[in-house]
Amino acid sequence: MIESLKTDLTQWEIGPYDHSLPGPMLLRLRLDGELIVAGEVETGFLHRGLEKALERQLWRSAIPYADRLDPEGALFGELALCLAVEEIAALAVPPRAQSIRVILSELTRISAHMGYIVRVARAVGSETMVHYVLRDREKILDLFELATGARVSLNFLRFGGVQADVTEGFIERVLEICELLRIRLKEYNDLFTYNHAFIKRTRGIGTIAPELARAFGVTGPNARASGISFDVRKEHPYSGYDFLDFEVPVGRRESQHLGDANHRFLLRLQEISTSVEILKQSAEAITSGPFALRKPEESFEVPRGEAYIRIESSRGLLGCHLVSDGGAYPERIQFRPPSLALLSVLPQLVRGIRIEDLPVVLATLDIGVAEADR
Amino acid sequence: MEPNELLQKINKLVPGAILEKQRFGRSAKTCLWVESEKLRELCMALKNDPAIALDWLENLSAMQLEDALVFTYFIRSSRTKERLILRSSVELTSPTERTDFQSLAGVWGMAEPQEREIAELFGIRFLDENGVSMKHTKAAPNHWKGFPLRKSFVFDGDKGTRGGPCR
Repeated sequence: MIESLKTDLTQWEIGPYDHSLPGPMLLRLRLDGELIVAGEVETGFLHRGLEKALERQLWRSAIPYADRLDPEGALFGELALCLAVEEIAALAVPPRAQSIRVILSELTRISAHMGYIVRVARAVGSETMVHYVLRDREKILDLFELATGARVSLNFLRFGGVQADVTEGFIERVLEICELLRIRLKEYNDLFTYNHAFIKRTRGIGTIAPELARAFGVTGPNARASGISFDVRKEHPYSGYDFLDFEVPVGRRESQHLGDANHRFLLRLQEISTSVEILKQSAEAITSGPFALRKPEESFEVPRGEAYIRIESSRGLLGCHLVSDGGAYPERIQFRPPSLALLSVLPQLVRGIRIEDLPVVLATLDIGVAEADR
Repeated sequence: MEPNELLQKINKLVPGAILEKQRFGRSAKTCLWVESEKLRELCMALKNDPAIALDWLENLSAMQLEDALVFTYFIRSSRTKERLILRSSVELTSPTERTDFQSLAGVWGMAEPQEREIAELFGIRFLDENGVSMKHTKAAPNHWKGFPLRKSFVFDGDKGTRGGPCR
């Protein structure tokens, strides 16, 4: 039951551009004093016509566009597109390229989760934590630069492999960063995670009950924090994830605060640990051999057909439905971004919380407005 | 549940709803073409039947094939992990007018944001079970005319050729 302060209801509009929002969006709230009694979300301010733009590119030049699906997890858009094309064209990706893809995917996941920690820390006013995490995230961006030449939009995957072999010393530096992250995670916990002020700001607010998560199709770390054990890397393995030994962290059903903002934060930290484990295994097991089926500059056409691919991005299930008519251009590329479900569930989550908790709920949900609007 | 067993069950639940059974791409997954008038009834039965329990609409994709708009529903059961692909289509009568189609937001809540997007980008008016139009989102600017994801859509200033950025 929602608490009432019995004041006159007021109407607030936050956005479309506000520092507390995860991106351009408009929140229409009705408030009873400090309590939010109803909320509506309007999106579309970041619509770039991405799917239309993809239809107008030659197959090869579609990859950098897929990068822009979610700038924070650029590699996931590329990977989903490449996997879909490879399924239609029945291309078998060489094992070395598979390992490079997994390493870059997990580095992207860690980098995105670090960005998440920064946003949560900022929402609760912990500037020290922001600087500590950004310091470490730079090291991951350095690794991207070493391997691909780019720090954010990598444009590195190719149909049937990757653009180039990894640079000398890259694998050693991946193993070094695994060790560093193990130390840093403990540091984050000591400094922030179990800080009583942080726990008070995040516990019991913005709770996604498992039934709510199912009803709205919430996936990824937010669903797992609600006790739903679903991870595409386990359910529909791709790029060789089935050969790796890792546990997917899931919120404990018996926990009193299952699915709340605090749970969502803790689960991301556990996911970084899991990604470190995957990175270590992939880096140690990487085989020598070709990194692509063909030279990147060779022309390429996709045969007639269609495919639907799922991958686990840092925010959840990212789907890609691809249709080819056998021509030089894609007939249709449609993405199923995980953030769409989060935007749908948001009005339910803000109902009953206090206005000062809104930035915390928004930050802990990790909504990618760019991928939702496309 | 085996595809044939599922098909028999569906035919019993909603007779005449399935038009054709296909394989989806290279995968072994079954894709069923559904009579558009019976789509909502069928989806409701697939969701509520305890043996099938397809309770999660994972994705809704739309694409234009010649003069028809084809909707592809990727659905799954969170209990049995069974997956199914449903397809239905509607003929696009006019390049400038919206075309009516059944909304499935009353069956799966997740359909709503995806339908709203398709409504604007493909020019579809989704109708609920009472025939009332669902609320449409506004992704494009106010002066925008036409439905950008339709094949007939041409951007201002170009001849509809591919290979360039969208303006």
